[in-house]
Amino acid sequence: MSTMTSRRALLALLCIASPLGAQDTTHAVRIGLTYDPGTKPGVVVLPSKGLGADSIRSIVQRDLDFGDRVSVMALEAGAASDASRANVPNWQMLARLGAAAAVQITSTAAGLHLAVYNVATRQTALIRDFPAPAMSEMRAWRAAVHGLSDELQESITGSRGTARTRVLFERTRRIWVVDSDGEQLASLTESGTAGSPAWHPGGGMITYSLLVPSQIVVQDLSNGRARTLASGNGVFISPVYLPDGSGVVYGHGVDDGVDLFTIALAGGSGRRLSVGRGSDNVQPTFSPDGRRIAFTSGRAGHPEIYTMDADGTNVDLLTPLEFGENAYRASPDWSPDGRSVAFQSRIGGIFQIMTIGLRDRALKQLTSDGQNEEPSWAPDGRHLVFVSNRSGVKQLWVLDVESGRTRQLTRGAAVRNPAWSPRLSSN
Amino acid sequence: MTRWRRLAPLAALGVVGCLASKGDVELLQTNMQSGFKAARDASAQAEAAQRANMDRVLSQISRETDSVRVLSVRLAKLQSDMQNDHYEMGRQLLQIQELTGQSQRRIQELRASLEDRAQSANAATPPDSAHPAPTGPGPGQLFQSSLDQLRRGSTSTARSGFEELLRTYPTYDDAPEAMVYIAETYAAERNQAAADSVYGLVIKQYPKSPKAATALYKQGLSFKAAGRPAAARDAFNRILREFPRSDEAVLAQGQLRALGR
Amino acid sequence: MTRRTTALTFALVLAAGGLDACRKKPEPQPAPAAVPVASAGEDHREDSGAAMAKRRADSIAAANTASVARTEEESKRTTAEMAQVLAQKVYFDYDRDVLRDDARAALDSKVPILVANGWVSLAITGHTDERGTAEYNLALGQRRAAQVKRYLEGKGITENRMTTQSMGDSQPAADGTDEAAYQLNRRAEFEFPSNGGALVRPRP
Repeated sequence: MSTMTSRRALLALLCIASPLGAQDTTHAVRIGLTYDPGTKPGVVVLPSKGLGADSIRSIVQRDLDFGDRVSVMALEAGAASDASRANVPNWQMLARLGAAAAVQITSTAAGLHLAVYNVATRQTALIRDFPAPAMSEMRAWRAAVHGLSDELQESITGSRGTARTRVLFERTRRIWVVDSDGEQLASLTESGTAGSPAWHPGGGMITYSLLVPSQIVVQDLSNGRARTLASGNGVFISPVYLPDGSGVVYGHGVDDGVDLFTIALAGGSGRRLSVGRGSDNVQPTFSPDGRRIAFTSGRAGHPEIYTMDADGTNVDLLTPLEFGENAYRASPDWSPDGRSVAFQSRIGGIFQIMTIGLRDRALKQLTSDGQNEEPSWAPDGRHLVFVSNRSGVKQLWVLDVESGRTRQLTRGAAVRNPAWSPRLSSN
Repeated sequence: MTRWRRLAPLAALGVVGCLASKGDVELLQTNMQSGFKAARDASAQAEAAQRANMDRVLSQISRETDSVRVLSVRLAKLQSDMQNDHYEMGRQLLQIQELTGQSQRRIQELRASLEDRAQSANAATPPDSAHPAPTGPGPGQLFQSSLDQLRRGSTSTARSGFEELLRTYPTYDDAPEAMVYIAETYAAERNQAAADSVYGLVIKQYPKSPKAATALYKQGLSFKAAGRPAAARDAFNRILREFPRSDEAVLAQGQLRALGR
Repeated sequence: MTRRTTALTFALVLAAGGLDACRKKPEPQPAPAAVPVASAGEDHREDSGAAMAKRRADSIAAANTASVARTEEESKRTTAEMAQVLAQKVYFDYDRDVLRDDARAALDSKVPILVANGWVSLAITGHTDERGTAEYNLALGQRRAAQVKRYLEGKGITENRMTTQSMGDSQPAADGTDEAAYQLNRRAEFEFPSNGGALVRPRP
């Protein structure tokens, strides 16, 4: 403990300025909203007319709610009709509710029209048009609405939302994908032995492993075309793309443990990255700058989280190892801001989600309800998707790390190995 | 007479033979049957004896073979058990090495925190002239905080910290590692030329340090990326020669395979 | 009279004895001096040692065509029996790939069958219980399969007769979340291409 505090004191000595230090303390950079720091600005999504208006409104409301950065305010029925009648918002009513912003979205021939009003100044703060496909193209249309939500959240809070993202996961050894709001569930592989999916940094491709015959597969989401990248005897597991998307790092082993290998998308053969000497080394995750890899290794006799340079040198234990300890720490995922790694740790015989700071190695336990495993960060670095059995069957849950709020993402048969996508622009 | 008498039985036999009654034939048959039986019995006895003898020999051999087999099975089991135990021992050795490495790192961190404490104690009391550097941070502190800076991406801050460490405490145990990290700060800034020259410095100044293997490997990678496979090969081969048991040697082998020897 | 019959009897005995001797003559006698040390020599000796019994069985078989079917039946039964031993699973402790004594015993019983049936290859699949992460369990399953292979190699089964793979926790043998189910799931399984080929029983 004293190490930490003193280290912090020392940092003050050495550190001039941290480029990562600036958090979203500057509220409403874009549209000059005023609200108390530390509170969530109230936002009212006004009813509007037009094709699918009600769907749009409810999708956006939910997106904003799931973003955990604004407080979505409901309108009284009378006020709603009153508001929908008028062309300008009912300022008095909005002020009475304590809303900082009001939002109106209308469906146009070209797509979606967004208007954001600053309640305090009674001014239109932002007008924007978003292209959107026809509503019949459900997935793409919903994606366009989600994209609007993300832009909206950014305009109000200064921090872009993650509504237009998707989550890959594994169910009955098939790869599935679901939108961040739990809609548009789809299977991406034939039934078989697929597992541990991961996103290409561009969001247009995925990689996963097959058990039989054992191999690493890359698949193009635009046309569904899949091809084998690496295969052979033994196991091929836990692939992730290189941060520049040019290749894949994966775990492979036959008779002498499992090591991490790297292979170019262009082809060739895998080149070894970890020197496990008979131990298991799996679940790589890259630091955002691409220079380090965190991974799970059993080299100390039980699984712990290690880091190493992306070329395999300078290996270092990240999680605090105790001698003779029967610990199990696995499934690391490097946070998008680069400052911490989320992982699962066995505490009292049950797995829980934790984070560890890269700089001070400070541990934080994020869950305690049921068994919680396999965390994956949302691109906002604030939300985590993970597997939990808190409702019985293992399902995906989303946690807001800041507020501790959780929501259930999937229902049905048991799932595992979620992977949250980067922000998606198209497809 | 005597002669006749002598011949008499023969004659009688002949007579009997020629004039054998039915009873005689029956008698002969009985005799013959008992003869056969006797012969069979004798044969069976002989055979049984022979068989018993052979079975004795066989079982003797079989016993001997069994014991040989038991011995050889035991030997094989011993061998494979030893092989397994050997493997297990190797693995445990690896774990011990890993734990030793970790405790080394712990000591490093501990040293930094001890320096922290000493420093705050010094701040409280008048400076003691016996202590060489009471004002600035100790080497452990400098190392830890600079590494922290590197890990969070503050490369220039990290570099000046490591440089201060090498300037103030040139004989510090982890000086080679600090120098590798200085090179890393350049590499992170995509200043590969500067990084390479610092790697070269590590190899020159600390040729026996395990960190020289790291520096050699990084240098080899840089050569390879710059389209100088011969220089890369030299660096990788030097690791195999001088640090054959290092992790870098295993990685270098992979690189050499990819380069084509 | 008596003398004559005796003589006759004697002649017959002689004849019978001769015949008997003739019948016994080809019986090869094993050389007890050459006590084998290696398993190859052992096998050789087994052949000659068991020749008598085999020849007896052969002659019976030749005399009786019905028994051919019986032999086939017997062969089928033996094959099934041997296959059962080969397929016998091997169990592990939680998060471990070390072979327990019961696992070693189970593997030891497979060795003579593998020795006696040199054409048989073995596919070893490692499995784990559901606890822990899918990927680490896949690695652990692979380590278990590799450990089994390593042990059998130590017993003289050539490396290229065995393949290893892992199913991790994806194919549990038993449902449930208690230790009893978990123990059944922490296992190595064995498959071998039978091709309808008959397995022979190793010589005792």
